[in-house]
Parts: sequence; structure tokens; C-alpha cells
Amino acid sequence: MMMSTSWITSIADILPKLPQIVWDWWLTLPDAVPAFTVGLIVFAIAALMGQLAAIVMVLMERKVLSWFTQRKGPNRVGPLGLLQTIADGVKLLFKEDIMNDAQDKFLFTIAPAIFLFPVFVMFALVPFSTSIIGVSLPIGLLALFALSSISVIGIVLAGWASNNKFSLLGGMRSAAQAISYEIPLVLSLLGVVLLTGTMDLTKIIEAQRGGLLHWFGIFLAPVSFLIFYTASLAEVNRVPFDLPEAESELVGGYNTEYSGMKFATFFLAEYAGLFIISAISAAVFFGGYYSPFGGLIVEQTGASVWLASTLGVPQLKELIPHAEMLLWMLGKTYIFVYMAMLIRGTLPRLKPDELMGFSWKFLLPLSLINVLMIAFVKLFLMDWAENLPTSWIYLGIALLIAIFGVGGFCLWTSRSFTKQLQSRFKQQA
Amino acid sequence: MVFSADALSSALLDNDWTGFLLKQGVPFLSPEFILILTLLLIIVLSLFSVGKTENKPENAINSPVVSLLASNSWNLAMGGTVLALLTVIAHYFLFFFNHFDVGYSVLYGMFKADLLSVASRTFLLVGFIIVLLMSKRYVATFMAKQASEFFAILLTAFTGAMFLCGSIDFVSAFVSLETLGISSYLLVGYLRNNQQSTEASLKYLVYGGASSALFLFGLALLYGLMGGSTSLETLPLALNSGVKELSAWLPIALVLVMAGVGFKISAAPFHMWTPDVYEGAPTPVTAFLSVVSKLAAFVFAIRFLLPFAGHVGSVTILVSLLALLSMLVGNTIALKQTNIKRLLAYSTIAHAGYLLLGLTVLQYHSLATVLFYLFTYVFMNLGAFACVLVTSDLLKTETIADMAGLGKAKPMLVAMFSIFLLGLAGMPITAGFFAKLFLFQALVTENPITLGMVLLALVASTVSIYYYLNVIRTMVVAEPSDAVKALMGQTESNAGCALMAGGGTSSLCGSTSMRWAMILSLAGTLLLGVLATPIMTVCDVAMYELIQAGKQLEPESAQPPANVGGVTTSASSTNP
Amino acid sequence: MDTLVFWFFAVVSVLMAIGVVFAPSVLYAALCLLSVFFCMAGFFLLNNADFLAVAQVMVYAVGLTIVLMFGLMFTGNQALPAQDNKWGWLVKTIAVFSGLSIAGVLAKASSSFVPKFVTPMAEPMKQNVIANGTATQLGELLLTKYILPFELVSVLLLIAMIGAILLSKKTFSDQGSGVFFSFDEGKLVPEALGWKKDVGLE
Repeated sequence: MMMSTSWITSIADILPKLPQIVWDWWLTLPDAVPAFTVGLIVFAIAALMGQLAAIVMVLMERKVLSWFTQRKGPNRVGPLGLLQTIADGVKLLFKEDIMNDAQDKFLFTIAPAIFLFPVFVMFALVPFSTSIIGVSLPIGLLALFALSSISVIGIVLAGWASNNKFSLLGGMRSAAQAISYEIPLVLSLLGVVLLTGTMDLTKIIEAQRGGLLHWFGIFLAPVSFLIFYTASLAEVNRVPFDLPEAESELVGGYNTEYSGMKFATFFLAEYAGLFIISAISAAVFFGGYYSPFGGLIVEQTGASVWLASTLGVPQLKELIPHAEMLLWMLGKTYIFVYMAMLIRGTLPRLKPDELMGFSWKFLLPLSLINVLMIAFVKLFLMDWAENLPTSWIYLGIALLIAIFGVGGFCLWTSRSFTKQLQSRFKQQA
Repeated sequence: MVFSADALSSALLDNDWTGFLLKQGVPFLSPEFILILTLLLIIVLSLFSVGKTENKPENAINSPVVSLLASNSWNLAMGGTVLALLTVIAHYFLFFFNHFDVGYSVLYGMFKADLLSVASRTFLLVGFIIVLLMSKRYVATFMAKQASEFFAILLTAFTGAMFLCGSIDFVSAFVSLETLGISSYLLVGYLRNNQQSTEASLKYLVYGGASSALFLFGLALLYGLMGGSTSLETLPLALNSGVKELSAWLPIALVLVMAGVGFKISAAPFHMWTPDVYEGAPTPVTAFLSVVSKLAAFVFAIRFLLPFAGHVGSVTILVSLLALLSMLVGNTIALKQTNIKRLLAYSTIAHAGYLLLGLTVLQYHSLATVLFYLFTYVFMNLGAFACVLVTSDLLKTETIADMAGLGKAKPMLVAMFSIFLLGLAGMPITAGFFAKLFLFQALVTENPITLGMVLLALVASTVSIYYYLNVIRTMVVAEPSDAVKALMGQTESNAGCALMAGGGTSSLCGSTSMRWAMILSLAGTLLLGVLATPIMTVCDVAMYELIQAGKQLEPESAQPPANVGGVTTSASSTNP
Repeated sequence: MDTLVFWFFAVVSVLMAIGVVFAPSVLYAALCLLSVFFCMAGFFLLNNADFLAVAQVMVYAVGLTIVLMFGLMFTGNQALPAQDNKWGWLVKTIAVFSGLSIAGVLAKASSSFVPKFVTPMAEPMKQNVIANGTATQLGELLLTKYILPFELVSVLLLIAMIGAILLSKKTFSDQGSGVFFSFDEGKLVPEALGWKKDVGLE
């Protein structure tokens, strides 16, 4: 008894001092350990955020789709069915993990991990406020897409290791699709990079601080946004580009053979990927964590200062703007997530040849024209914009890009025109 | 020329683009720009060629649309090349009147516009015109539907060669070498339904990839040795810095770079690809590879090796090793060849040996004779390949034995072929004789050390006479083979044998462009012998100026390497 | 830290490079190659070349490897036919010896090489690079000093692309088709779309 009480008291003595002790010990460590640990912590938080986002989105998708089709959706587990995803997760955890003998065990196991990891790392690169960001890289935008392209290897490996023709076809389709759509994707972002002169996401968002008129997705580079959103839907295998896992033709595509937690990993990573591309859309094209009215509302109205002084908590002055930023960013992100679900509820799946044709014959030329136009605007019109009411110039630029975009659309979709020309020529000859 | 970002920004501020371009010497690149514009034009026009894909292979030649297209892309390519040649000739006047005695650095020291690059580009362009003349009917016959792409790729390869002639920076040298190389892989495999051609292309690709990697590794080592500079003009600076690590690393870097260059000029240990590629590739492409690629790579080798003139030891050993091996391998294996294209491939290797011999001592007159040799080689080899093209088209075979008695059927053709082969053997009358004479003479007089090697080279070229004359003997003296008999039957029924071939049955030999190709080659082969003195003078002046330009970059007077872009720092200036 | 990470990448890259050669199947070799590329990206990062590292991941590690795997999966996973080469052992021995001797020469030379020539980056410059990345400087260099090779590369890539497409077409003048992605439907698709009728010559 005596022993234990003294033990408890000594713990009680130490406990308040513990942070100081840990901090002192931390400082004595060699340089490498803190850097490595911070990296691990950032990754852990990012992974946690990814999982949370995925859990919310799975439920959201089921609910939203059921509203579209006039059903109730999940409504049994928890209030309004809110705990459905968690129940599903628990079910998947306890499911039997089936592997058959003909499969390549090593690759079969490692494929979901290769698919999942880069998506989690991407969470560390997305800014949710000026300070809620894992790492702010000078080439953050490019790094995001380098990471997103890694996941494709996971899909291809999963398809191959499954030893199943449907899986293989799914993997193949995924590889072809990812390579094809990556080009318009990056080219569409190139326009924004040209306009801002940086690939740092926080700086790109800073460039859109002025509000609605300064958002790239509205007036400055709407074509870029459309290309980006379309191509990134294809990158994360969403309907109408979900050919790699087309249930009705390939059973389940690359994840046909997967069960239990491995399947859940694929599932999780896909939703996390959708969240990421929505977040990038919001950040690059729709002002990120700034409000549509320019800056932040709490700062414009002085609300944060007022609250901090009335409540007597000076830290709130710093915290409230970040809360608002987080709110804007998450709100915008979920709007794009919702849009993806809306598209899923609306559009049918493409055929393989249509899919490739759409990328190479339409999106790619269009994005090239778009980049050219934006370069033109940057070179010749930006100087004038300094002296004139900016918004009108932006409008003019937007119109110009739109006209060229539509022109490109007409030119490249009308293959029938070329064919007519050919047949006419043949008749003459 | 030291890099400064200010030049561009000040030009941008003043809106003085013309001044900026002139200051950077961009007009000196006008032939290359013309070639690039031409090839882009060809690609774009081929996009709009309506009905191009509608024809099946069998009626490709008969279709007026397709042959029109084929000849149009050829016309464009030819027009561009001639225009480029005119601009290069205009550069001579610039040199005479403005007297850029040490040349002019173009675009931040990426390209050197001096007499060497201008002279070599002139002969490259003339050679390319001959290649185009050779390929006109060939392309229309065998690859009519892909004609425009063929000429676009050919022009790209040629543009790479043109840039290589003036490259004085590792980056531009490597890029132009790759432009030449990658386009060549495509061209070699252009007869896609022909197994030999595809195999040759693959072989060339694999060997080429490996040698490019070695070349790049060598350049990377030199980049480190030169303290973070990629310009060849800072190479003497690093060499004279007297740092003792140089002695350990320089030979390695040198070997690696020469492996890359040796591949392009098909010198002996790197020659494995040559016979297969020469045999498998479409014959105009073979001609292109054997001449254009070789001339450009040699000019780069001269530029690259010249800074080593003060440290000639390792260069002499390495280059003379390459030269001896090339002469040995080329001449001995050529003796046993039965296929005429393979024979010419080994003869090419042997010639690379003679030419490398001139690079061993790195003195200006011997280098000048190498240049002269290269110029004459352009005409002799192109002429020989033109004759091979016609003969193989007439006889439908490339075997030497099947060419027996061809002299009775096509005397003019055989006469021409003999002149080209005699030229390659180094017989009098032709320019080949003077080329060999000048080269050996210069080697003997400039440096007695090489006397032994010159004797060896003489023996080697004596051996080479045997296999060249053997071909001539087969064609002239021997009884007609079956193929030739069949040909004679045809020509009797089809009267109207024109200059050398005539005959309505064959599409190639009767074509005017083919005749012009042969006439141009013949004229070159004979005229360069007659005009040996003036052209030799140009070569001498070019080399003299090159060496003078190198001497201006003495270690004392030269600037330390610029701190390029702020990414790397130079070390050689801090470690004298 | 830097040294630790360097040695990690160095050891892994060498092991994986060996793995490329000795891997049991081609797909594993491709995966090893992928790891080597990632380690290369790591080396670039260690030298503060962030843009190069990302480009390495994007172009080599992913783009190239996926195309490689794509090709492997279509061509099947058969082992190469064994070669009955009488002099095979001799060639192998020579190759091993020459490789080892080259490695030895390089090691000998590099023991005297490294410290003198390679000076570390100046500290303010390093800070600048860490803060702003190298992309801007790289872009400026490419469009000023190295503009000539840069433009030449663009011509080269264009032509290489055209040539590759041209040579890999099924027949030299075939129409493009969507049959690539569904084996079973492959025969049916062109007729179903009426392409033959539209394109061929009756």
C-alpha cells in the first residue's frame, strides 16, 4: 500500500513537469531524430485526416446518391444512419482475407499499400489555412501530381497480381487512363502557374485573396478549371471515367479479388483521392481558404479582435481567422465532392475508345490552346490590366479564352467534318 | 562568352529584340532555323494531306495523290536545304568582310560560328542534297505513304548534325548528338515490314543508348573536373590548373567521351553496329549515316580534343589505339565480305581509322588534312552508295557475286562505281588520293612519332585496294551472272538506255534525281582533286583560327567560370 | 541526418539495381527499377534539387515504369529462351572481371577526388534554394543560357513522338481504333462502328 501511494504521489509530482522534461530531453537529441519524428507526426495527422475525410465521404455518397434516386439510403445504424460507415469498416476488418494459390502473394499484399500511401502523403501538402498545412513546398502543386501518379502503380500491380483477367483488364485500363489524363491535368494547371508565377499552393491562394473576381476558376481561367476537374475525375477513377473498376463489365476491375481490409484500403484511398482533387480545385481555382468577398470575413469586420477582447482570451485573435479559413476550405472542398457525386448520379460510363479519344483528341488540344491563350494574355494584356478597372479586363480575358475554348471544341469534336472533306476529295479524285 | 541574365532583361526593357538577337549572333544559325522551319512545315502540311490514309500499300505508287504528296514533301525538304546552303555560303562573305578571326559565340556560348563550322556545314549541306536526291525515288517506291514523315525525320537528324558541327558546350553537343542519334534509329527501322531493317534499328538503338550513356557519364565527370562549367572553352583552364586529381580522372572521362564519339564515327571497338545497320537500313539512310553523321561527329571530336593539345599523352595513346584497331578490323574483315553494303560498312570503319590517325598529334595541319579527307569522303562514299542503290535495284540483290559482268549491261554505271571505289581506295585522279596523300604527309612532317603508324596505315590502305578492286574486277571482267543476264534480256527488249541505266522496268535507275545524285558525287570526287589547294587552304585557315581562338583563352587572361544561375559554385578558380 | 538518408538511398539503390538484373520475373525487375528511380529522386532531394526530384518521380518512376509494365503485361511473362552458348562462361567471366576492375579504378580515383573539386553550396544560396526552390532558376536558365539546346530538344521530342507513333502502328497506315482495351470485343468493334466501310476502298 505504502509503496503504491508513494508511487502515485511521485507521478503526481512529475506530471505537471512532464512537458518540460520531455522538451529538455527533445533538445538533447541529435538533429536527425526531431526532423524524422516531425515528419512521422505530419504523416500520421495527414493519414488520420484522410481516413476521416473518407469516412465522411462514403456516408455522404450513399446518402446523396439515394436522394438522387429517391431512396432513403442508410438509416438504421445510429441516428439517421450516421454510423453506417463505421459499422461497415468494422465488418470489413473482421472479414476473411482471401488469397488463392495462383496469386503473387507479395505483390497482392503490397499493392493496396502502394495505392494508399501517396494519397495520405498528399494530405500533408494541401493547405487548409495559412498555418494548417503539413509542409509548404515551393513546388507543392507539381509534387501533388507526382504523388497522385504513384497510386496508379498500385492499381496496375493489383490487377496483375490478382491472376484474374478482369482484374488485369482493370489494371491496364487504369494505367492507360492515368497516363492519358495526366497530361491535360498538368497542362491545365500550367495556366494558373503561368499567371501566378509560382507552384506554391499557399502563394497561389494568396494571389486569389481579392475575392470572387480574382478566383482563377471564375473569370481568369475557367477553361483550365473545367479541364482540370474533368481530368482529375479520370485520375481518381470516378464516374464517368470509372472503367478500371466498371462493375457491370469487369465485375470489380482491379479489386475483384480483394476482400476484407485490403479491399477497404482501396476503397479508402479512392475517397481520399476524391477529397484531395476537390481540395486542389478549391485551392487553385476558387480562392482556397479565403472568402468570396475578399480576405476573411472575421478580419474584414473586425470580429476576431472584438471577440478576443470581449472574451478576454487574446489567443482567439489568432485562432478565429484560422477557423474561418478551415471552414471556407472544407466548405469549398465538399462542394466539389458533392459535384463529383452529382456527376456520378447523372452521367453514364464512357466506352474505352471514347475515353482515350476524349483525352487525346479533345482535352489535350484544348488544354494546349488554353495554355497558349493564357501565355498570350500574360504577355500582352497583364500590363494594361494594371491601369484599368481590373474586373473588366478579367472578363475580357475570360471571354477570349472561352471563345478559343469553344473554337477548339468545335474543331476537335467535329471529326465528321474531316471525314466529309475526305469523301468529297475522294469523289473529285 | 560569359552568361549574364542582364542582357535579356535589358533587351526586354528596351524592347530591342533585333539588337539582342544580333548581339547573340542568332543570324549565324539561320541555316538551322531554315531546316527546322522546313521540317515543321512538312509535318503540318502532312496533317492536312486529305486522303493520305485511304490508300492501300499496293496502289500507293499509282495513286496520283500520294505521289504528289511524296514529291511535295521532297520538294519542300530540298528547297529548305538549298536555301540553307545559300545562307551558309553567305556566311563566308561575312567572314571575309567582317573578319571574325576567332569565330563568334552564338546564344550564350552554345554554338560557335567559326570557319570550321561554316566549312563543315557547307559540305554537310552538299552531302545532304545528294542524300535527298538519292532518296526521292526510293521513298516514292518503298514508303510513299510515310514520305512526309520520312523527310521530316531525316531533316531532324540532319539538323542535329548541323548543330553538332558548331557545338562548343557539352549540353548543346549532347542534345544535338541525341537529335542525330534518335532520328537515325527511326530512319534505320523505317522499312518496318522488313525484318532486317527492324533488327538493325533495334541493334542501333541498343548500342546507341549504351554509348550515349557512356558519353554522358564522361561529360558529367568533365563537368566536375571543370569546376561546374559545361563549356568546352573552359576545358583548357581546367587542364592547365595543375590539380593532381586530373591525372586520375581525365583519362577516364576522355575514354568515356571518346566511346560516345567513336560510336558515331564507327571506330573499331564501337563498330559492332555498323555492318548490320548498314545492311538493314534503307540505302539512302545508310548513305546518310555513313557520311553526315560521321562528318559531324568528327568535327565535334576535333573541337573536343583540341584543348588537350598541351597534354597530348593520353589522347595520343587513346586515339591511336582506336585508329589502329579500326584500320585493322575494317580492312581485314572487309576482305571476306560478300554483300556490297557490308563491304562498304567495313570500309567505313577502316576510313574512320585513317581519319583518327590525324587526330593523334593535334597539330593544325594534320587536323586540316583530316577535314579535307572528310570533305572528299562525303562525295566518294555518297557516290558509292548511290551506285549500290541503283545496282541493287536493277539486280534485286546486294551480293557482290551477282554483280558479275554488270559492265557489259550497264557500262556507264560500272564506270562511275569504279571511280568511286578507286577514290575510296585512294587511287590517283580522284580526290581520295590527295586526301590520303595530304593526311600521311602532314602526319610524317609534323610529328615523326607517328611515322610507324603511317607506315601501318599505308599497309592497311594497300590491303584495302584488294577488296575495292575485287568488286571492280567482278563487275568488269567476270562472266555475267544470272541476275545480270536477266537484266540484259530486259534492256534489250526495252530500248532507250539513257546515260547510265535507262530501262523502263526499274523505277530508280531511270530517275533524273538519281542521276543528279551520281553526277554531283562524281563531280565532287573529281573536282576536289583538282581544287585540292584552295579547299585545303580553307581547312588550314579554319584549323589555324580554331587554335588561335583556343590560345586566346589562356589561363591567365581568361575569366574564371561564371557562377551559373547561382546553383553551383566554381571550384577551379579557388584551387589553382 | 543527410548522411544517414544518403546512405539509406545509396544502399537501397545499389541493392535494387542488382535486383533489376537478378529478379525472378520481369515485373519484379520493373519494380526494382522503380525503386532505383525513387532513390535517384531522393539523391536529388538531398542536393536541394526539388524540381528535378519531382520530375524524376513523375517522368521516370511513374510514367516510364507504367509504360514498361504495360508492355510487359501485354507481351506475357515468359522466361527468355535459354541460350546454348559454348563460350558463355568466358564472356561472363570477362564481363565480371572488367566490371570489377572498372569499379576498382573508379574507387581508387574517387578516393583522391571528392574533397578538392566539389565545394558545398554557399550558405545564403542554400537557404534561398530551400526557401524558394530551384524551379524559378531552372526556368530562367532554360530560357536564357540553354535556350538553344532547349529548343532543339523540343524539336527532337516532337520528331521522336511522331516516329514512335509511325513505327508502332499496326500497319503503316492503319486507322486508330479502340480495340486496344478489350480483347474479346476487339474483333467486333471496328465493324460495329462502321469504320471499315467508311475508310476502306471498295
